[in-house]
Amino acid sequence: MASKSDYWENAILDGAFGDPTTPTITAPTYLALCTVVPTDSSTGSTITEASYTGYARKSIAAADMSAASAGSKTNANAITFAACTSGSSTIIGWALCDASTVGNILYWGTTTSTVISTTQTPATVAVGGLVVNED
Amino acid sequence: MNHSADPGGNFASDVHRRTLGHLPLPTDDPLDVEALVERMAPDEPTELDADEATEVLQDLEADGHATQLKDGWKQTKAGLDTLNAPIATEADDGE
Repeated sequence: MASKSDYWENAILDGAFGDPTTPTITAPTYLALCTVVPTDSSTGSTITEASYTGYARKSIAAADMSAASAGSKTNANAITFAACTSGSSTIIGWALCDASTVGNILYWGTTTSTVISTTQTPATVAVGGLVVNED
Repeated sequence: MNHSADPGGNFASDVHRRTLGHLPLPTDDPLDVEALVERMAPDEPTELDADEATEVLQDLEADGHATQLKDGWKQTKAGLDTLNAPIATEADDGE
């Protein structure tokens, strides 16, 4: 599942009426891995992200994503995070952010519970694994 | 209820982890059971009705991971720390 953040909902509403203060998103965006599921009101500074050594949000170029179609957009290229060099985290959620640290959340969602540790290959979202839908 | 194991080995089941993961942070306002069930509804690995969710919440409370307040439930600091903790097998190795 994927949900829009309050920040992004308001931005879209403002943009629909041509508000000149509407924020624009410049690629790349950044995918965060979360150990607590975000909420609509979460921000880039309030989400609870993975804590293993080596973790960082992964940048996503515009070309890494398919063109939106039928209200859905997905990743056309695999998204591979930096390897875990020590520690571990169990991931249950994700957030698409507009900055590599802090910043705003655009969309968020849940994922199957997944352990990231030194014994696994780096966290990877396979092609088509990240799906963002609009009604 | 028969839930699948928690992959991190820190909770009674994966559903316990995910239910706690949907609860408000210790510093946020609590959430009542009905709102929690509604919030978790799109989360396919966590399909619970209100009675089942209450049972899981009571388990989490017994383990010190969640707390029930007048207006609902939220994570405890210990619960949040456990969500962020290394997997149990690694912690047992002294890391």
